Amino acid sequence: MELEDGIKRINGTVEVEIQGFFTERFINLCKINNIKIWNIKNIVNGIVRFNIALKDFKKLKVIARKTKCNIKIISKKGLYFKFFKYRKRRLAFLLILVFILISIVSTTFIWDIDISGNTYISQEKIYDALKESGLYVGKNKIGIKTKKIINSLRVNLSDIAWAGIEIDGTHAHVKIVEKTKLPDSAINENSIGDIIANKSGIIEKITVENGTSILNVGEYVEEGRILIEGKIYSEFLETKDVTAKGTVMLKTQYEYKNQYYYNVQEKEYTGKSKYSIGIGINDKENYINYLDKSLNYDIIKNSKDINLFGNNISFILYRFDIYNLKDKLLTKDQILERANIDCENYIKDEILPNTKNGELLDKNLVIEQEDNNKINIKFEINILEEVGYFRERT
Amino acid sequence: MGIDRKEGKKLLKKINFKNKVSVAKEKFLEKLNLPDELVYDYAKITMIENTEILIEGSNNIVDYYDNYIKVQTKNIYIIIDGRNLNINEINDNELLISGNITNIGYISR
Repeated sequence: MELEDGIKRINGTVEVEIQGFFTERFINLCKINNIKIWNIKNIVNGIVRFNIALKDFKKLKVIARKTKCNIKIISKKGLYFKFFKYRKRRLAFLLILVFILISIVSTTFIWDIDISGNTYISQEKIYDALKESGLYVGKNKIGIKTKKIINSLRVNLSDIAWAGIEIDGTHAHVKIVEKTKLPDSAINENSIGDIIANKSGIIEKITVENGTSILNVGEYVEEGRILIEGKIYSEFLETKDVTAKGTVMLKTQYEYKNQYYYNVQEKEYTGKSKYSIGIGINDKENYINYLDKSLNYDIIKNSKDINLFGNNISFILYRFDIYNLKDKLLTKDQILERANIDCENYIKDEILPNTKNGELLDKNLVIEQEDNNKINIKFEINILEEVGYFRERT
Repeated sequence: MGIDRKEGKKLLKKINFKNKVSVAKEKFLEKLNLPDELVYDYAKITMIENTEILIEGSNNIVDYYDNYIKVQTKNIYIIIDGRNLNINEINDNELLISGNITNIGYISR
């Protein structure tokens, strides 16, 4: 009921003045006839003003005749009167119509596709396959047949076990289940071959599950040598070919070299910072530049990305922290401390991720060369790791 | 012009029965713990300081001036004195008056 009133009021309201002897009766009759009036004001004795919805205005005529009141319109408000005023501006109406049409039509297209569930098939490959099967950004979603697309997608990409397409407004959600690949160990199960060293080092531990190894703990092994041979030798029976299996732990050595100077320049932040905004389109960034070129800045970005027809548009907020470069003279202890931290980071970021079950044993510091203004430092790093890969015998 | 004694007795019986029914009805409604204004159709008056007054229950406006409003409800007349009295909302069941209210009075019908 209230919503209906609201719509009536948006459509148009009229402020009316009535004049007569029986204004009270007029109001009561309005109430009885279910004509909604509000903001009733008594201006002078016998003159009353009130607001009424445009739709109910015609009903007042009967009541006015009954109560012998005169009706006068004071002001008009609402959409109906606005439209009436601008009724001759046809172009404006046309533009409004076109705008509404465009917004309706644009919702029938697919604006964004997101793919989930893939681990080893790349996103672009799936995009291309989807495009071939008939689902792409900019495709009209009317008359789309998801079943057909899924079938052709499965033909195009043989690694997909199941696919589901859900169109939600202007978004298309593509869910994919990949075929599970057999792990390498399962493939190796039935083929005959050896385990080969892919790194050189000293053997720390060797456990053979299947096959024969002639190596001992403490022996040095070079890269490319057979660690476990896929053969079983017997005194009484013939030699038998098997799949080599086992783990070999090697102590391998890595190096970290760096040069350190006594004189260094360090950043000293002033605590002041400036802000700017920018827009990036496909990795090209433009921002409002009002910076003083004589100062040094650290740029910190905070961005929000939008994908539009395959283009990546990002709105970026920049923060520029101002700093001064200051000369500093380091002592030898400070340099060694810094070298230690750098080395530890190198081990953590570069070495250990590239090993299998890698573990740091120890690291030795060697000062290679010492000068008046610089030191060359080398770290010898010993790592315990699992090595060896399976190679099929031909 | 007179009523037969028999007819008179019948009428009396009818009136007695009606009274009994209405008494029973009231007792029953009292047992239900319903608010009085619903049961007896009384007017309910709510005021916010001296600026706004809301009258609920079936009502009619008898007199309406800038400084004086007389409202008829089921059992009483409500008289409101003040300055710049406006009727903000008028409805089948509600009447909302705003302005600078100085006095409220009641007259029984």
